[in-house]
Amino acid sequence: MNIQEAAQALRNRKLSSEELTRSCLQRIEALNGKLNAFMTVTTERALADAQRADAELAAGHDRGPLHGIPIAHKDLFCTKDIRTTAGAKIWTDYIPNFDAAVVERLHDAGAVLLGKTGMHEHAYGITSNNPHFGAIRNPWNPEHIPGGSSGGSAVAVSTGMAMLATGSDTGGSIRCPASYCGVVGLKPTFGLVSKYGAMPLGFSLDHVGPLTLTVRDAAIALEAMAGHDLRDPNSAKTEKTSYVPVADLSLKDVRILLPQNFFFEGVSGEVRQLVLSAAQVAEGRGATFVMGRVPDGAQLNTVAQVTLLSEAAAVHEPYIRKRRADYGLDVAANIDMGRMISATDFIQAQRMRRRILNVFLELFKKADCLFVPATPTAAPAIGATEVSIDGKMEETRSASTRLLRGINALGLPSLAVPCGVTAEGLPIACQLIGKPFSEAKLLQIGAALEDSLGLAPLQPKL
Amino acid sequence: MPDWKNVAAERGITLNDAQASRLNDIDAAMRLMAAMIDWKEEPVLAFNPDLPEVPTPGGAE
Repeated sequence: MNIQEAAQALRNRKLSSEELTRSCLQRIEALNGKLNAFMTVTTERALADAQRADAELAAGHDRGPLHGIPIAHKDLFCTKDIRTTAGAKIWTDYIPNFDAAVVERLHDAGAVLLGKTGMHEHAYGITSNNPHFGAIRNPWNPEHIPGGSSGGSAVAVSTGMAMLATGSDTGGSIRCPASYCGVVGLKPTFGLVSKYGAMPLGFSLDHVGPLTLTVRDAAIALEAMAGHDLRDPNSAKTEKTSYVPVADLSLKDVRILLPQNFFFEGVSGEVRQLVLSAAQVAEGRGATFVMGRVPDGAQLNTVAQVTLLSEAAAVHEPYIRKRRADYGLDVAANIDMGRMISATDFIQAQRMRRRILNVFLELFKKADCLFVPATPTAAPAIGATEVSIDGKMEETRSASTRLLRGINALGLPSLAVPCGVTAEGLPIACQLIGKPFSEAKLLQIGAALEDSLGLAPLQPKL
Repeated sequence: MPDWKNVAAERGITLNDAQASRLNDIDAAMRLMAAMIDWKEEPVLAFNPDLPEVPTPGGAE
């Protein structure tokens, strides 16, 4: 059941929020030992939230489509009186005295808090193979990674443990696990969703967004999550917008750019075929293809890497000096590298960001979105340091992020939509990238695609 | 190219071969890009004196 269906059932009194919440708690009880999606389960809080939601609905107080819907937060969003670890040993006992902005907003929208989801340590990695709290496992094949860093959130949504989970995306951390677990992941435009109370990794690259079973559910979540917040210095002053696409969408007048370079290079033949088939489905709904070249993706990725390495080193420098032994090896290695980036290179990277963004903005004058793969392969095996892409070996971290991380440096919105399952039985997603604040258009295209593909909800057999 | 391991060691940081190799790649790419940049191009991040006063999350903890 997706959020739209549950919201309807709650209002028809066919289902109560408490029943829905208990059902999710039972799924967590049954599956979490195997998959390790949740760090903390807040059973008492969830049932209290659900009972309040039922009482309010019975009294005619309707907070909107998330009223009574059970959700989870990635464990880097501060939650008042609930442990918030960022998947890190150094924050194992941290109990904030405040809620992050997205926690506040989803609470105000009537959502029920089930708990906090596991993640790659400090959100600094894509495997979610956490050295302190254990590996999070892909529900399609528990021997494979779920992607990261929002791995627990993707697993929770994929398996019905939660109907919505929040994520953060600094170099692909919403879209990579969405692709690897077969759920929808939205990285909104930088500044659209407040980062207040989200533990940072890269100040200028961090984005907050939802993971859901369907595109329309992601739109419902975004409506609740978006909005200006004075407490986030990067928060954009935007008007309240309706994002939820209508039914039976046509894509007439939608122009889709299939890049002739970078995004389809070094991609497995199977992934390329599934993504191009999905693009043809969009064409069948009336979309027009536009051909064009994007700026050098390798250069853009370097710009994003230099920015992330520097910003993350700045975030962690005071902590790693004192508690190096409490950092995982991969995270400590990245922080060490960040300390080696020169200030000159960091500034040059910021100058290149503006230059490359201007080229992308020109492209968006002739197309509504780029239509590309989210990841070049399906989920790699746990512990695999390299993946084979049609016989050519590539480092797992690089392969999992190279089609994603550059978009963070540009702040552009990007929507990952499941578009098929490989012969190995693992899902993959396509990625729709648009101009700043074009989320409504991306969600419209994604919903039409989802309607035509008929895959949603794409869930593993457990 | 700098000898990354030696430079790092002077700062008390130990790098392995993979880290040094990644830093080499980044350095080479940044040199190429820096050669493309015109003096008129400002960085995307600029100090803004009009920023509102931003509270520390959660206040004093």
